[in-house]
Amino acid sequence: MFASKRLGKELSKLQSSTPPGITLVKADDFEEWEMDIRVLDSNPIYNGQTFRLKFRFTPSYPIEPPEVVFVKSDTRPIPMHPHIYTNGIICLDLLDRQGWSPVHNVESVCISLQSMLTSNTKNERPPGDEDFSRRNRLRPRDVNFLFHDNTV
Amino acid sequence: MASIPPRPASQRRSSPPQDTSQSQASSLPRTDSVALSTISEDSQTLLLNPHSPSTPEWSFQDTSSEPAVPAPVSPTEDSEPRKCWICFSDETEDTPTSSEWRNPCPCALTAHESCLLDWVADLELSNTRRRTGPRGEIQCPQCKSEIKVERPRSVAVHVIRLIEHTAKLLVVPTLAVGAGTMLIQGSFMHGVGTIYAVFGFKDGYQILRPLYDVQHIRTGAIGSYLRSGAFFNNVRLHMNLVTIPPILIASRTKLADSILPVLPLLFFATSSRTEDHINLDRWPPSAALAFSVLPYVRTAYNAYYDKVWAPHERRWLKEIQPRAGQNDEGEPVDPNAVNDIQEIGEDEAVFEINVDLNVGWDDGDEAEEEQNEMDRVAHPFNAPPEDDAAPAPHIPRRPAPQARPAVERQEGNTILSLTKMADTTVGALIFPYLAAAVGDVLRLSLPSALVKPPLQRLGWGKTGEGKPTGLLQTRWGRTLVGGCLFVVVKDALMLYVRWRMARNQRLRQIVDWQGERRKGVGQVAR
Repeated sequence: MFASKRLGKELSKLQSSTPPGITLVKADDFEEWEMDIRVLDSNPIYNGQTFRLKFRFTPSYPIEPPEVVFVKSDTRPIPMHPHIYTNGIICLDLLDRQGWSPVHNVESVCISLQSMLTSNTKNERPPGDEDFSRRNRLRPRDVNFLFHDNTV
Repeated sequence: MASIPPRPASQRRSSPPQDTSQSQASSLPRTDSVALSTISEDSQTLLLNPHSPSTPEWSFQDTSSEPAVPAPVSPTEDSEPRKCWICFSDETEDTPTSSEWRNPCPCALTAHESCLLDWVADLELSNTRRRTGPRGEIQCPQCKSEIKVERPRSVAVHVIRLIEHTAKLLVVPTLAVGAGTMLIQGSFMHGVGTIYAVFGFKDGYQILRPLYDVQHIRTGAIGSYLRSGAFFNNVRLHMNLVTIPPILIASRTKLADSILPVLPLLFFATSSRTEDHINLDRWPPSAALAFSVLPYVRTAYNAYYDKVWAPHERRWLKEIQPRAGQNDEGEPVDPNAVNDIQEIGEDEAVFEINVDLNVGWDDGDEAEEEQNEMDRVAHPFNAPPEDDAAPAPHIPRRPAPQARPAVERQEGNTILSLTKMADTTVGALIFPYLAAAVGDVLRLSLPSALVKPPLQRLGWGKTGEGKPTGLLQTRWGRTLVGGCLFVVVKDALMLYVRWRMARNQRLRQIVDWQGERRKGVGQVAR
């Protein structure tokens, strides 16, 4: 009830307008949404690509952070980024319990990710990506990330 | 909430869906949460407003302006309805069950009290410093100023939480201290056991008496006890007992080579009179002297063993390795032979460990032996060399296989290193008891003139044990000699077994099939 009320608010705002480069793809319920983001400037790493984000909300949203991952499809690759794993899991502190606060919302998360991509200059995966992507069965919220890079 | 000033029902119901709410909102009376008497019923906790809630004008406005034309309460807020930064709903959607509005920090964020309290509870549960301030205070996510939460104080809750917190912090240190104490207590008990095993009950009791004396001290006498120096003797005794197992273990490793020779010096430097009750006669040397010579004897014995026996031992070990060109699968003809080889290979590693351990221990044993048991020792030692002389001509024939097996054995050793450690430790710890057992065997097997002190007249027709005139007449002497004997005999036995294995290896033969040859058996094996 708490979550759906707030998500209803966010949804109606997103439906009326979204920031440039961010589009609402699917929001059939208050549990799982999909968003498309693309980088606005001509960062060569992401030029011409659009990425699909999947949000999953718990009933305690926005007290608890949503679970946000990139999902892969034929037209939607997983962006190359030193904090984004091949399986779409994103290592970003504001998506973790520790960095999250209810001031964030779907739109602000999308903008953060967008700017995270925009400012990226390294066309690479995180260290240990292959291993993690192959073995990880945990949901992103259960993964313990160690946030060490404050430049992103 | 009871404390919310009731709004006109008509207004509330008619409040339209969000899109139009803006216009209406301004006309709505502000139900300001600043009301002083607010008590949320769901929680005893109040969020404090920085504009002090008790400002008189506020309360005045709240109460007086309510029914009348809505007056803009705060110039910054009245342009649009307040919006809760947590649930994103704004003022116009408030229902009678909606919580109070709070703006706990200087920035523009305002929120429902219940939303804030949910959030605060989550922050406090998640228990990470990162989300909260350095002292665990709640911070506004926007302006990072502290959000103050007033809650009823309960001494019990506070104390218990403090205790829980402290307990959490202390778990690891407590475990460490506990483990350390167990280790020290264990060492101490083993030290006491060792003393009794080596010296027997009577002399052991003499040595350990300070431990028992402590218990008789009256509480009033502690001062004089401390002053008398007995206390320090007792502490020293404790420490000495505790160090017995570590030294036993260290003396079985190469580590101790550099430390052990220093210990006797330390011992003499700090010697107290504890050992005085043990006889200080000239020939049987004092126990202290005899034991403190052990490290030197150990070094001497090790050097002797390394120089004289280690090369032989290595050669014998190599001989039982399969040849370089002929590995395990290369020698399949006689299944028994193969098994033997494998068994030997395994045994060999174990033997090696044992020998290392023995070498570690040889020192102590040998020391005594050199003093008086040389003759006896000579036998086991002499035996292998004699045997060795005979097979010697064979040796040059197989020099080839030696390089490679050596490597293999090293690998085996690293794999076995854990076993080896356990072996070293256990062997070291039971050594005193083994030595005492051998000492007892000596006592029972040698003529009583050697192992019993001469009788002495005590007067009134009684006789008692006199002063011992030989090392073996004391319990500790027998233990010492027993320990040395044990090591030397074991080494000698080990060497003999190695030599024997090597010799057997050279002499083995493949047995020819004696019966009739049948054709095709091999192919039709199925």
